[in-house]
Amino acid sequence: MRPEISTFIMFIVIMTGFFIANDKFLSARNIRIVMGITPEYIIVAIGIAILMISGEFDLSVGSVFALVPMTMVQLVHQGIPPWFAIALGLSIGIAVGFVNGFITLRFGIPSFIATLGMLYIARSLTTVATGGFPPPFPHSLPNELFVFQFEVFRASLFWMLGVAAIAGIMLHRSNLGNWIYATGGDTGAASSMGIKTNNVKMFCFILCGFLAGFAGMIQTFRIEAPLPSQGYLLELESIAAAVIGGVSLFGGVGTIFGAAIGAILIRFLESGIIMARIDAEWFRAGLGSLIIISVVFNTWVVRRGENMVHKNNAEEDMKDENNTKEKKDEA
Amino acid sequence: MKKITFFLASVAVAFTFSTVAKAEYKFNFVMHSDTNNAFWAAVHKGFKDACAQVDADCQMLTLSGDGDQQEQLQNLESSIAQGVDGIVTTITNPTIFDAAVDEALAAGIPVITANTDDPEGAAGSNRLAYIGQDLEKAGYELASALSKQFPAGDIHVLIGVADMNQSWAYTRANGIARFMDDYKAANTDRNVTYEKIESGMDLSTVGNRVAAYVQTNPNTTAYFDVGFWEAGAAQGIRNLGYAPGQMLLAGFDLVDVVFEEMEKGYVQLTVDQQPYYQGYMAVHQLYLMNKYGLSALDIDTGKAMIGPEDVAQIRSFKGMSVR
Repeated sequence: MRPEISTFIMFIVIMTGFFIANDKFLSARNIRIVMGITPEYIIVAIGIAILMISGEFDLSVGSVFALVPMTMVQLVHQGIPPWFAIALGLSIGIAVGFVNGFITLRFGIPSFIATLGMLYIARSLTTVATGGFPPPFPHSLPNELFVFQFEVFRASLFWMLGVAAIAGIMLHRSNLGNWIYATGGDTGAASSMGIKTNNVKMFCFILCGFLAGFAGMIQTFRIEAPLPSQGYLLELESIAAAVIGGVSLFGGVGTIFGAAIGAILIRFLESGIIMARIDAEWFRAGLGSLIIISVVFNTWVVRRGENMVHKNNAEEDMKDENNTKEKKDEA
Repeated sequence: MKKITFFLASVAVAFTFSTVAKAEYKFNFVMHSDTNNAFWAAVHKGFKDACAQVDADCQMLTLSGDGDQQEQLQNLESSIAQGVDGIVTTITNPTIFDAAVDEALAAGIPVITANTDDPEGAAGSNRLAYIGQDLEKAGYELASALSKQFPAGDIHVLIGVADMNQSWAYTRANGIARFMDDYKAANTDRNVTYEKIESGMDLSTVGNRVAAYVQTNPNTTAYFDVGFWEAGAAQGIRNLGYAPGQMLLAGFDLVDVVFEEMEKGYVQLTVDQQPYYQGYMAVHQLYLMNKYGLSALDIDTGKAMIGPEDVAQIRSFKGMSVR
């Protein structure tokens, strides 16, 4: 069984459990709340998943998630036209991704370290950009286009689906996707096949920074307030979402669908724990345990699948051997 | 596979049994801090005690990150979706909680604020009442009380705004600053100045930042913290070799570490906002509103100035997690 399918099964089981605990868990109101937030996190998880498939990490996504919208808001307050401010803001996300990639690839240091540094730098820049106090949200920004509420869904869901579709086609149906998998699977082998692995990784870093900033923008547009604390711990949550969805920590393995399901699972877990009225002291313990259980479950399913494949292969090999032997005997 | 499925099913069943609510009412407290902040223990205790008295099913919703307003908003919205009978919340941002508060009220769920109110009070939010300290006034009175210990000559005060983005923090800081403006106007013959910095929300960060500040500004007369982290500042200046009382320190709230610094002579004053009341009275109000249709009322939980002479008496209650 593919890991993202087992995550999906797990998702159904957990949803059922929480629904039994509180039937309002799947009420339109709660779905509306969770689905209002989830697209933002899925977009970040998609960026992280693609980067992880290419064999790298980005710990700065939470900070970029705050820095990009804060920049946009402050630029509008400086009199820059809203759409131009949005473009400039998103280019900050791209720039951070580029710097992450440049430092990691040029100096040959682990992306974990390069982006950990960027986590602090970008968060600090966000606070600097507030100028001491968080600025009010300028209503000249076209936020409705991104977060318009339509029944239980928001427009952000469709933006997320658009991002997922483009990323999915790129990753699973294009040469670039093949290069990303090859680079993450075995960089040396990919290079010797002629893939420019550094370029591939750089592209993934930039994409990740861009998507983190884009998602942060959607969140700011939704709550109509630029908050410097936005996206706190998001980096760990996004990596958790990707891993829960079957993306390998070691590169080369994973899907967009898996990362999306992982992000949805975390958001519904969080909501379910609250809805099940589990005490505050247990909140993080519950979330943490469920993250571990889901990854253990995933790994177990994958190993079992591999064992079955090995067993089948071994049986087939034995059959082949027997057949060959019989043929020899006949001869 | 079967074992895992069985295990997960058991977890789901355990959730169900653990959450079968027999209580008459369900109340949620949606607050803006994580579970590690010492101040909130007394609020939580008051909340739990009151819930036990009225046999309510209560849930305190904390945050993964101290002060993460987006997460707090989400918790507030989830509480509405749960269909609870009453919500107590803090309002740490002037605008982002407004729609959710209105939505709860429209759904027939009474909302009262405790500990931190909208900076504009009832004018800024439709919440039904506020139970807590008048933050701006408490800041003003803290500064006024400490000013009686100011030395003669020029005065330079440092105000530590724990987190510039939290309304409770900057509102208290504004109160302190307002007093300093009045003090300056009343003392035209002296050079009275003040400065605000973002001081942080843990003891070591505040200690480091204040120590760094006073090294470049050795003329600093006093440090005000908008939380209880002046205790961290005390540690910071002690490491620099300051004697007790050489620089005056004051802040908010009663926590053990502040008492220790008071006994050592480094902290001169703190304001007690009686957090137990904030949890306790909120539940009783919600209960009476649900049960008898009584209306909500504002309660000022206090601005008592606590000095080193009061420490022994207050500490005698400390083991009860009430003060």
